[in-house]
Amino acid sequence: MSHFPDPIAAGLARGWRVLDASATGLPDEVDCDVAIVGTGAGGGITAEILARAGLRVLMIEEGPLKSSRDFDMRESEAYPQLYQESAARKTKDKAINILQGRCVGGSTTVNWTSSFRTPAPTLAWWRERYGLGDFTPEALFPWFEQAEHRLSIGPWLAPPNENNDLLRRGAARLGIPAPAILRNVRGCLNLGYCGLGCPTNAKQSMLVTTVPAALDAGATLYTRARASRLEIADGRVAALEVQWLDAGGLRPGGRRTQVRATHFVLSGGAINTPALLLRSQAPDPNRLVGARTFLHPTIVSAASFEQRVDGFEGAPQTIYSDFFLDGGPIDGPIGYKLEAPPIHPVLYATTLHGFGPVHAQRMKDFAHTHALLALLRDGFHPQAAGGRVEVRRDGSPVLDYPLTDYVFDGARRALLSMAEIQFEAGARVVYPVHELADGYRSWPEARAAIGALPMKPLLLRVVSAHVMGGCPIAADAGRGVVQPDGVHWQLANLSVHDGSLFPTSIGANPQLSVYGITARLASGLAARLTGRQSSGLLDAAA
Amino acid sequence: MVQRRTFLKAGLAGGAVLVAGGAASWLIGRDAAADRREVLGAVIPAMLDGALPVAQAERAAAIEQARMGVETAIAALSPASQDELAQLFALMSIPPTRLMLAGLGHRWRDAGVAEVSSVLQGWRTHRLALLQSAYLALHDLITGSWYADPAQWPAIGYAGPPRL
Repeated sequence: MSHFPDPIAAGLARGWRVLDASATGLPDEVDCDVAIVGTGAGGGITAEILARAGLRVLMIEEGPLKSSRDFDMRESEAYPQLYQESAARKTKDKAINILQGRCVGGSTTVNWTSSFRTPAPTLAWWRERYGLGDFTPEALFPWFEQAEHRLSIGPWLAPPNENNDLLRRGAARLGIPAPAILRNVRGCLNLGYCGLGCPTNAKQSMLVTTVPAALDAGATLYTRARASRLEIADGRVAALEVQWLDAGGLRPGGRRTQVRATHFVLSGGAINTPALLLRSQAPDPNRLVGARTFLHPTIVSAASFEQRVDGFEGAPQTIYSDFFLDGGPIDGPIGYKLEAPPIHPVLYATTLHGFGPVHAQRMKDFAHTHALLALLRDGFHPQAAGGRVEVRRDGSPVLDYPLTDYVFDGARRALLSMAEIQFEAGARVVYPVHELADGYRSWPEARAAIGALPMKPLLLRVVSAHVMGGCPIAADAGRGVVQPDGVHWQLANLSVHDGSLFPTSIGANPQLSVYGITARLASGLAARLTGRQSSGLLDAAA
Repeated sequence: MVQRRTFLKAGLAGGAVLVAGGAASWLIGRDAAADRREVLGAVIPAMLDGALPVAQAERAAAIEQARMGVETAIAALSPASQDELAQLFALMSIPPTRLMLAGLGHRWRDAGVAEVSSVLQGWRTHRLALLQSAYLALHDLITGSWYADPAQWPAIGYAGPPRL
């Protein structure tokens, strides 16, 4: 437990309207102007803009409200409390492990703070293929700027930790550019535990920015309350059924609340937002809901160094390289972004392949371990069409994401790139994370071995922290689930404001894309609902 | 042997035996906790071989500690994952399926580290995705729970999070 001032405790003390369905229950029925499902990047931004426009906003969050006083930097606490499926959410064939938040603030409460504007080539593709004419860098610029200002997104001035500096040094020796990553932090102490909930409130997540602003503006927040089903009639959402979760927060406890609203906004994130539409049998004439869900399938290369790396310490992901992303056409061989993640005991022990003495020996080297990630840019090629969200018998969602040869080709190139950089940085041994890979002591040895590794699901370790798509935004109903203003093509009082909007993956860590694009959509929605111009995120309470 | 192969092909390929999302009716009446105890008591010493203490009493206590950690981790998983794991532990415990999946003609508790390790090694690279994913589930649950425990941090050179 940290002793830093806790803005959530302070807000509750001054009378925020927050109800925990598991602990105190909810009303049987409730009316509001706008009901927002989810409090992550899209839900948080939308809640602040709508609440400050004078609308009666209700936020509905399946996860718990946890804050800095709860964040003790232990994985054993953070994963069960703050992540979807205890940080063990998997694709249908179990070949990809997915990290997604499940708490107030959503993934922004547990992400690693990396902030990139939507890359211009991605926007160009959306304009060309999805008719999104006003998705130009120029048109989105003011919205990214607002989000950057609101969330203190800017250059990180402290030197990179050794884990990131190894990426910088190794890349430099190969002539590969590796610039610094912007971060959404204020007064960051450079601890390195962003993924477990920021114990000092330095990370400007939705938990400490927009959600408090919305509550201060009179919004209501329900926690441990699951949006289970939309009631649909005559081309509109009549109501939303919300289940109260039981004391454990994992299962419905039996009671329900019926939420009526003028407008409903879905911000449960990719996977959960399409799943809610599927459970509700929302109109979907072109079977687009849940299809084309993207992951930035992520490949890992570990390495052992003579010196201590202490990858658990210091800001994660402060250096990146787009060298292998920018080189060719966006729909050519799959490109990948390189980053250096935090290395914590559980995250590393579970990711590291092997068992018994081999695993134990590599774990003994934990403090000397460096790790690189390659995030593959899916969604731009017929063989990277993403996955499809399905709903299980119990209503829970699962993503069926087939890994194709096209993606595996990129994975192999990524393992090669990462190993070469690691050897250039001085690695003693490189461990491509693959069940059949060994530790390699030289670049020629690694190059030959990686070239021969069978690229198959469940042999190659694939992870994801970026779930996108499934409710694409597009200029016509044949290509999109929602219109360019974020409103559902068939349901006039329903909008989608989260990463599921994206017609492809982003090709960069997506939080700022969600912030900027949903700020624009929410401002438009506020103006339509109130008849007044919205000020967006400007002049927000600091 | 031919019959067994056919059963494996028909029943297990594609995970058809595991009922996804909702408790499987064939599990009714089984003691899920007993299945977990039976399997974990043998798989933990193999998965953590090299990390566990060597001295007999300490080793037994550490295995028990690890088992409790896995129990805690499972309880936090989604209901759908808990149901799938219950089916996995049952398949691993019921003698005919234990024999088919793991090739073990005796109980897990009577298998040594070497024998269990060879089962795990076989599953890692098995042509049946079910067994590969079973290996990975056991790997993640056991190694994750073990290294979540601050008692294991000194051995890996990790001093724990800073005190604020």
